[in-house]
Amino acid sequence: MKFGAKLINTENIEQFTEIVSTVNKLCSKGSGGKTCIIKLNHDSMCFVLPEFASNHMLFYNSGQVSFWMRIDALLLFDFYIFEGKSIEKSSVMIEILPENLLHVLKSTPNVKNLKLKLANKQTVCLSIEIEYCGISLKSKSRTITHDIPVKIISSSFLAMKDFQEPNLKDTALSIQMPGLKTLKHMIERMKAMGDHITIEATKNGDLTIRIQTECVSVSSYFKNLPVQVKKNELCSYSMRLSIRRMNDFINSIQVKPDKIICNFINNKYAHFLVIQNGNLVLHYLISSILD
Amino acid sequence: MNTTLITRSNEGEKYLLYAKLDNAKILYNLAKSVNFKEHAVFCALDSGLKISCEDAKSTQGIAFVHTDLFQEYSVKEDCVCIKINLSVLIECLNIFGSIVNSIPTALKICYEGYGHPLSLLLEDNGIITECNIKTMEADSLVNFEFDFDRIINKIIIKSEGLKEALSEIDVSNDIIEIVISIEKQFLRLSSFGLIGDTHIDIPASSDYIESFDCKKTQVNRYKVSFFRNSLKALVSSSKVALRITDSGVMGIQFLIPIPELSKMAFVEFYFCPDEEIE
Repeated sequence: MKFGAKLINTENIEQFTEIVSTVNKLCSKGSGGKTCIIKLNHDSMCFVLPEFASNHMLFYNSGQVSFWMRIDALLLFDFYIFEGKSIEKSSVMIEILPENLLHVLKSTPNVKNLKLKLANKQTVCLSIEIEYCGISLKSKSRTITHDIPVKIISSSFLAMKDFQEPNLKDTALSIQMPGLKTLKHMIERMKAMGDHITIEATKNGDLTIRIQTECVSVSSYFKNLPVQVKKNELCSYSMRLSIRRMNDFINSIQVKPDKIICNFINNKYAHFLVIQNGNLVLHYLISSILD
Repeated sequence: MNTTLITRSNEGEKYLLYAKLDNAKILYNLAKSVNFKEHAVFCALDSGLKISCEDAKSTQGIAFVHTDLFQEYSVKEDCVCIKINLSVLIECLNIFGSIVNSIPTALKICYEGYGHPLSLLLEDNGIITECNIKTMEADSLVNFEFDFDRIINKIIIKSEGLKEALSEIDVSNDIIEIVISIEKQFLRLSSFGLIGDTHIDIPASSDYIESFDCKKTQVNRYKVSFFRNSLKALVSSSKVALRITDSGVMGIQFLIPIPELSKMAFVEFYFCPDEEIE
């Protein structure tokens, strides 16, 4: 197996840091531990929660969340190579604490370049070699290597198919959410007033975000949002979610997305899609509150 | 200018209270400055809106939004008073947040009458948010008997001066002593902490003092928490008038500038001296 990745461009380093920061926030709200599984492929990296082991999205309890994220490694990294052990084993899954990786990436601002590889140092580690700029023009640059212990997840334990992109084939209606800043602020204010939020979308691209408590009812009306109707059954679709889960989701997005899409599938869960330039796709699922 | 909230002069007809504000932030900041308790009495008077907050019948904070701060204001009765959850009102007013460089959020307030909610319509960049806040019967508020004829001492001080003085107060003790001395011509703020006593003297001749009208020397002690309740108002104010009656009742009036309208708003706090056996 061969794995190596390098980041030279400052913008790419920043973007990778934003991605890891997002993963860290997403994992910290998971119901299991705070670990994450990274699946390395020849052209991509997928980040999933260990408990997300099925594509069926069977939620036993209300208020559960799950995510799946894929980044285009060839676009994000300045250099990326991954070759599996064999044709059958063309990818590898490693379990890591994203907090540790984030800590390394945020260590100092003067990063000149970053090299990632897997190494066997007493235990299997994700080895990050960082070259820092010298303090002055004349002084030499320093290199520090950080080794983060990881666990290789064998393919017998979790099947490869368990990490496939969640499918949206049963989507009835997809609507683009309003801008992240507006959404963030609004959800935070609503969280201070109540526990549950209702999201309603119509075929005409109208979106309503509403909370209703004994004391107050607040409804925000967004019009003319891009919408795609896949099933022409109902005029409008609505879902009831925990505001705290919605707030956790919005606040974990540390990247600058091009769009956030809300997919109405059935009334069991809300399926959000965060897309950035086609090189990052994040699926975030929140199980809905049934009356 | 937001044009979606169309001004129709007869739109306000069916409401007991109907008001329009081009910038919701004005009401937001004034309401926040008296939000030391969750509920408040919201009164619509001929002269404007009055938001009164009271704690344990011992202190009151009142924010007054005069009609000339509104683009439109109409109230059908002399005085319409309701009790609402002020914290919720404030969250609603801030639903869009403050995105810099953008057109301010427009606000419309509608109240149909007894049994109806207080309705707020906020608009920002084409997005409309409708808030309906439950109303309750207004509690009667304490009359502080703040008789303007009985004011013994009145000091007008620049806000930065009072801010600085209050920041020096030792909070280990919950009492602050205010001395206004005619002989020594100063305003003294004192706190008596575990380590020692702190005295901050502001002479009448100080640049911070705009007017020092002292009829008799007074020494009064007040709860620090009462002053703390007024900190938000102090921070957004330019000037403060401290008025004390012969029975030691303190009336603080903050002058809050509203630069975008080149107008002023007032926030007042009232509280009684602490009865302490020395």
